[in-house]
Amino acid sequence: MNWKITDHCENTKEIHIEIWVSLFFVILSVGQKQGDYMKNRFEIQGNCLTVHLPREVDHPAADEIRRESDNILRKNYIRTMVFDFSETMFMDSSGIGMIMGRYRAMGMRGNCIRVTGVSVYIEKLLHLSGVYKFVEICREA
Amino acid sequence: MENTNEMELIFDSSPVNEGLARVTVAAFCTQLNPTLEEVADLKTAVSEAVTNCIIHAYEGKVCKIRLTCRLAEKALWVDVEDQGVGISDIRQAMEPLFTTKPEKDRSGMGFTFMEAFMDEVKVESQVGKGTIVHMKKVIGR
Repeated sequence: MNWKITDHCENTKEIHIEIWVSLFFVILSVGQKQGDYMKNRFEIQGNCLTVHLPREVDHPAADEIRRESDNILRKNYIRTMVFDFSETMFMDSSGIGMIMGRYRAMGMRGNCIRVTGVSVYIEKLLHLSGVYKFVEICREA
Repeated sequence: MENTNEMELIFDSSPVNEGLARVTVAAFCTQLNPTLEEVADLKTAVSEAVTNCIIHAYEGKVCKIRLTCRLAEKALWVDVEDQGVGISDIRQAMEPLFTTKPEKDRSGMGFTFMEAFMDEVKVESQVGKGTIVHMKKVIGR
């Protein structure tokens, strides 16, 4: 039983670090202009648009990504959109709404939306919301 | 009752405060030694409730949101209260994919996520007076 106790302690420590880190990011993002962290978020290769999602995909972040990606979709010929979740630690229903909206904007074709770098937690959200039905989950980075 | 603790936070219904609200609740619940998964669930549920107040209850106006947390034994109660427009049909509002703002890319998954991630969700609402969302989560099962 000894290992269980140490495991628990380490876990608590990890959570404390995680929370202080996220607190730090909140303070940082409050002080920062919304547009600043959007640089280099979007990458176009041929007719594929890759969106590197931020650490937290919440309501303000989802709105920003929606605006920016709609701009890009209007100006470029894009057939596939890839959402890269490798940096993302947090998402809520605003992020799900943003993905659903992009699917609609892309004409609801099959295979038009792909996601990469999903954690167990993000995958849980995709499944709960039913988004996984039209989104292709790619394992490799 | 031993091991109880309470917290109250009142903040403006501005989207930048969503991060503040969820991180505050996460930091508050570390006293119960939650797992990373439990913290993630809690953060998503709080984020959904606060986003609802900002987008639906106050419809972009800046008013106050009251967040109350109570710890007792191994459970955490979170109440999110607003004095906004209220909900006329709570059952319909809680249905998956139901949203009054599809044009804003809302997914309609807010209450569904809250119910999935918390052990209990109760909604009290009066049209024109406001809404209170009561949530409970048992930590460390």
